[in-house]
Amino acid sequence: MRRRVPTLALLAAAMSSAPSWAQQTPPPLTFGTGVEAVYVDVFVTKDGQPVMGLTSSAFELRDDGAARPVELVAVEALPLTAILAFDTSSSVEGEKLAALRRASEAFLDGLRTEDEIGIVAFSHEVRWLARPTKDRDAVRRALAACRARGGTSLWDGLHAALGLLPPQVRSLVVIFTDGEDNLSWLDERQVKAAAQRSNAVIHAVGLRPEELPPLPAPFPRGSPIPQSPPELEQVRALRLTAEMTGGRFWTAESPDRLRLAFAAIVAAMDSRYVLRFEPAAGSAPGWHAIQLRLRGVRGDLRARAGYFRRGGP
Amino acid sequence: MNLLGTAVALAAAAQTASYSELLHQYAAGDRAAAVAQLASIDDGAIARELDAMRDRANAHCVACGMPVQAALRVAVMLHTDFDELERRPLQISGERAPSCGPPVHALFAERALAPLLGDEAGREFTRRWYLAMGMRSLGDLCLEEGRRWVGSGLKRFPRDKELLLTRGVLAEAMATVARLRQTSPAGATPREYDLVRQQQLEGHGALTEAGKALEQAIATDPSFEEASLHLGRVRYRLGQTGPALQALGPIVAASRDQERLYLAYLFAGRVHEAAGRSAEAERAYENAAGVEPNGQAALMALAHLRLMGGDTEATRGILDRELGRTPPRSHEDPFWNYQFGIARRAEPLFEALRNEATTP
Repeated sequence: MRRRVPTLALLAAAMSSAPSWAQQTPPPLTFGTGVEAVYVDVFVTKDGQPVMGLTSSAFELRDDGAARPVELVAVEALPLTAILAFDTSSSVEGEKLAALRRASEAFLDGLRTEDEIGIVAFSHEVRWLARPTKDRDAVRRALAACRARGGTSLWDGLHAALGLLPPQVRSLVVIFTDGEDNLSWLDERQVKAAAQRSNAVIHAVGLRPEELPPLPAPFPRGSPIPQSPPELEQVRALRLTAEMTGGRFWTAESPDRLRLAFAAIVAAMDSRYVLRFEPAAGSAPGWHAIQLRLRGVRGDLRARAGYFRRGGP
Repeated sequence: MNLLGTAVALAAAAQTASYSELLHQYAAGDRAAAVAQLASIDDGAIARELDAMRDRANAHCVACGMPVQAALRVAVMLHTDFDELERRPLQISGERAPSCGPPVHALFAERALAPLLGDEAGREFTRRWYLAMGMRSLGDLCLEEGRRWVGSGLKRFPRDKELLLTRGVLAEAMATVARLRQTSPAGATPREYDLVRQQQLEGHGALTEAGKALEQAIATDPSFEEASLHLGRVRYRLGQTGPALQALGPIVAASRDQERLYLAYLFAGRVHEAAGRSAEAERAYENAAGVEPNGQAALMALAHLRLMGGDTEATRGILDRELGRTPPRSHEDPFWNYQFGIARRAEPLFEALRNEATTP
């Protein structure tokens, strides 16, 4: 691995308005040409179990259809910055909030000492509960002080979590919600665009809604009763956004199950591979689709669907 | 006045009283007790009493101790308060859970209004009652019910700008709720797809209805900024970017109301952003943030624009400052109250009507 060297851009950024915790971010890992590399966080499973021990030769990557050589980056060498984005609207008050605190404990337990964790709370207002830190006790204190109130700005909360993460680090956003967005300024389309520009893996955790969408009446004669209700557009948008980044949407059947979901998410981060590749010289700015598949290995693969290449020189 | 709480407490000890006595009691200021005892009178008897009062609207109600016209006003508010009690029972935790219809006592209240339309004061009483009912229904998310109340009010006062605004806001809220509840067409069975299509049409239809009502309100009073603000937002949601800016323009140019100005800048920014005019959008969002320092929506909008422009450092700077805001905001972002904010005007309206009904 190449030595990390501060760049002028980063020094300049350190003098600007970026948050102090973010200013300590190491510079991006780069190839010799100075072209910014693309990192792809990959999760490989077989029969539901993580597949470990793969080398770079096991992965075949295409950038907008063109094959690119990949390099495997040791996950241990990359500290993780995780942001938990929590719905703290009034509907979470009580048992759900208590379960969320327990789930967060499980998540904290699964992090490595060098990893950082921050918490964003969103009701109608989006705010920091804790800025990213290695200080677990500070995070626990923030969680203990968290109170539920108000409406739900889900998309604003997720967008903020994505926008706050430095683009150069290995990052994870876990967003929890129990209901519908009703007060966001930003919409799902804008959050999807932000996710495309982020390096973060998003996992979304939802509690099974108590109210299912109504079915039209009268029920057509002879038509089968659907086994599952149609997916809410908002849930679909959240699920697709998560999947686009290599994460997934988890449905917890009850507050107690949140703990399992959070523990599984953090555990999976240690079982992932980080691939690094350099886009082809002169490749166009904008969205690039990534096609990734396994070579000579059987299994299922979950990774980001693409990346956004900035324009300019 | 904790009318409802007292009413609940008194309900168990309610004594049997005649309808006229209850009107007298309510008018004398003992509202909670009167509301609590109303449950002991059956609906048929109430209907007969109201019909009798309507038939002698210009007489004096001896049993009530007041003119029938005054007694009718008291009846309106007595039944309105009982309706409130029924739809919003106090929970053990103190939390109120409003429910929608069937509004039996609200309909009794409306029945008592009919004879009041003969004079100007009675008409104004009636107009504000319909307005308050529409606004309360908005706050309770009883949108269809609210639409019915405002529709009935508009039959009597077709050019009333406040009723037209409330009808527009109710319809706009219906479209918002329809969107939240919208199911995905992806992977839907044909029957489920029908549901999706139905939801889409409902949302679009509600926005169209909102636009018409708001345009009528502005036609009644071209300087009605609140209606113009909502019309701008509704037109944006209908994809009419030019007309949206046309509606917002006068507010941006001349409004002295800070909240309205903030929202107009915010909405205009979104219109520009959707049209791909990033520089104009940025200017509008910056103006919004300048007008309303407590506005989180404006900063979210700016952060997003900067992110799309590739300036991740600026994005993080904006978001970090906003999420870690110290000291905490002194008041709420007006955007959070945009859609349902006028519901807060219902209770002061009702209280004014109660006072008018019980003041000799």
